[in-house]
Amino acid sequence: MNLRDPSSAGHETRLSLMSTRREYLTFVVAEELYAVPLASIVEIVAGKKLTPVPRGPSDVLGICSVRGELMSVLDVRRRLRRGTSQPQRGRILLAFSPVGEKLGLWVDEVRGVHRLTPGEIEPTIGTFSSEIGTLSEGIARLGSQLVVLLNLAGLTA
Amino acid sequence: MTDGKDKSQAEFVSEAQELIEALSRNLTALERALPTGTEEPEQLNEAFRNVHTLKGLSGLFNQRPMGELSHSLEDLLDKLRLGRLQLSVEVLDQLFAAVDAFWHLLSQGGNGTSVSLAALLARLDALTPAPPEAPTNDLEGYALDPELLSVLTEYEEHRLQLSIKQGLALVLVRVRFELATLDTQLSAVKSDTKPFGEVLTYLPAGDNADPACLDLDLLIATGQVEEVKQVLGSAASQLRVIGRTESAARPELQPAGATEGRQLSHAATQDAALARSPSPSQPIAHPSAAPGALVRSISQTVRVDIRKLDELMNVLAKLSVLRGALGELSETARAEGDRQMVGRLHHLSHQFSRNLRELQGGLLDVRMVPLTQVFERLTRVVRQTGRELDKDVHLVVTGADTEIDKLIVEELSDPLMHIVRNAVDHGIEDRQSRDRRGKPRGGTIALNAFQKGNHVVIEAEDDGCGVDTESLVRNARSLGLISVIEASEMSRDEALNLIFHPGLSTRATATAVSGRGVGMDVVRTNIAKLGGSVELDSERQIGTKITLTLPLTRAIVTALVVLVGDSTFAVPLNSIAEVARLDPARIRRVDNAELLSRRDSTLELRRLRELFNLGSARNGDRDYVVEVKAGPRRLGLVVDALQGQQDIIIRPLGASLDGVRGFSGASELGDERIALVLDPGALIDEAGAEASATARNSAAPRSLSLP
Repeated sequence: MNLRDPSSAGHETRLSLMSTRREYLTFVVAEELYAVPLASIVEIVAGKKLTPVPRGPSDVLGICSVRGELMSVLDVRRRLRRGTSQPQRGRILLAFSPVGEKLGLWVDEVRGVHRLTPGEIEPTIGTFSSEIGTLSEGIARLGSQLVVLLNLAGLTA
Repeated sequence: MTDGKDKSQAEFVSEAQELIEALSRNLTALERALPTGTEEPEQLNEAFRNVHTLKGLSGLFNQRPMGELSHSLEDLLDKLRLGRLQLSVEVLDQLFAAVDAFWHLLSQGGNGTSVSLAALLARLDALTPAPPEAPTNDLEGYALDPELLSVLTEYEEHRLQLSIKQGLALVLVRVRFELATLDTQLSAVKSDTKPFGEVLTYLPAGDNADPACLDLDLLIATGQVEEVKQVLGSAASQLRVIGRTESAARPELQPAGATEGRQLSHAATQDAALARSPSPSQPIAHPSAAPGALVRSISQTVRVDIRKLDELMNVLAKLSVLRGALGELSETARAEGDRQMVGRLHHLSHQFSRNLRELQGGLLDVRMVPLTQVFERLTRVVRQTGRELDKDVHLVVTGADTEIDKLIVEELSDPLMHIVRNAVDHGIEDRQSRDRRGKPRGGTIALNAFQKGNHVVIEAEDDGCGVDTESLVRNARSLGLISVIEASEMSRDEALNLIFHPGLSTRATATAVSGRGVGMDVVRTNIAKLGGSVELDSERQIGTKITLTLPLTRAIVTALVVLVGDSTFAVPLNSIAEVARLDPARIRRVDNAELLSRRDSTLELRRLRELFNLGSARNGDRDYVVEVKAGPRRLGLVVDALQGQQDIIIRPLGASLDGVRGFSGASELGDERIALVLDPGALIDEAGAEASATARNSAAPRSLSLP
């Protein structure tokens, strides 16, 4: 799956200002829009069967195999205190955790890729409860919708 | 990307590691020989060369702390090999300290700095050299070619002087070598002559017509000329004993005024005329072996990062899944009745399986390394601990060449270190006590390794005082781990097993070395993680023997696949004692535990369904009990169904599942199905811990055995 908008390919060379923009991948969890830096996502996979791990931490939904490699899949919904996912349908974002382990993030739906400049991102100090506060890097507006930028290190820690 | 840098760094580390290991080996050999004064000068020289190469390597890779240390060490070793400094226990201590510092630096990528390094460097420099000996003129009395003397290195001259002082005879031998294999042949000659003499130096003899061969004149110092002659046999085309000029022993070889020297090459030519015909054992010149061939590496080995092998194992895992799919396809075709297709598919699938097995075997084979490295480090641990505690301890190692998976070797170092430290500290008594008990003053620790089927067994045995079970039981009771009645009813084996209990120690106070109560339980846990088991046997005043049984490899294990509800688990076959249908009539409940009574014993049961919270029990079909073992301990795991054996490749559960007890990893079985691999050792430990917790809460006597 090619995540990058093909029409945006030429922009990078044209405008040096554009280089300060970062690409974000947006996704939906419990009907809310979230985003993480695209560069931190390795791959998006779907239709994987999860194997639960008894006694595992509650926010690990299970393990799955992606081309012969095993990885743990985290329940993003639970991390965000938005309830618990039922691992029946959903997509898995593959990302690297801070310790270099490849992890899956279970999300409801993947929306697309957006470019944001630092100026478009507002800080979230005091906006959220402390738990989500540590997970968010800021908030941005995409058209009429608000998107919460998540801090991957916090999410996968 | 920093890939190139990482690669060169990895190269540095692995090369440095080899050199440090070689250095350590040479030092250990020297240490062993020191009390009897039989140190091999060659080992000192080897150690010097190891450090010299390491210094060069450090410079090449810009590893400054490593370079500095090598430099100081090189100086010291140079003084030692030139006899300017006498080798002693104190000097060896500093040399071993330097080896440890090398390891430390290397573990930090070679560039780490350590506070103690400066202190060590100062200590190395402080080992002041003995005043230089008055130069002896012993050489003058010998008919040695001044040309030869002029090319001797300082070390060679030192050895020559020393040999003459010791009254050894000097022999000059001409040997023809094939250029392509010069190195190996030369070292063969050196080691052949070693029992009788020392090859002091060698020089090319020059006048040889064959470009593929090289004649060398070897100068050998020996007390047994005849033996040297015999060893070299027909390989030597000329052999000449160089006598003293004053002596009339061999006047024919010593013209007057020999102090001026005789042209060696001239003499050689003369002698050569007498024995010109090539000896039959001379190597046949190889047509392609031009002089340039020497540059080519003689070694046939490659160094490979273990992670690369792991990647290959990953590919192997994928191929195994494909093999499964191929097999299924073959079955489907059979059901559909396409005869020709079935035949071809079957054939293909069969061939695929066979090749896969070969690939698997080959891959496992290259992962195997000897235990030598680990054992060598243990030698140093014993030495160091012995000195710290002022005890004489002697380590005897057998079976160091036993091979085991590289990944297991890595994990063995800590547990074994713990065991030998314990043996020195708790096992071996101090000299006075040993004297009183009529034991030899020096204690002995024997480390034996051997392969037994699919396992590697490592035994660590000491001749010390044995485990004080009374004090173990007393401590266990005061900590409330066992009840008073249990304590009184405990068999010696049960009491011995208390040593594996977390937090228990026989010592009232901790020493710097061991005895803080974190010990054998950690050893057992770590060994269980590797799929192995630990057993302890001890006899008061006679000694203690700890036996580690380890699988040959963790990369691929044969496992029994079992089902519980929707979940699939794999149980490594090497930890299964027995599998049977569970007869409900034979189950008895004691407290909250289920016990299966059998002909001659009872087996404690654990239902995986309850253990892992896998939903309510089904009714109808009978369950199975899989009896797992860890050393002498047993536990019955109750499962719904069995699904046969399979070779599985165990992958670790990631960091986010690190704390989960009871599993050693997971494995893909095909069609995306993943089986969690059970860790029987951990499950048994768990059952044991529960049992003793219950014992603490109820004072009632129980027949259950402790962990």
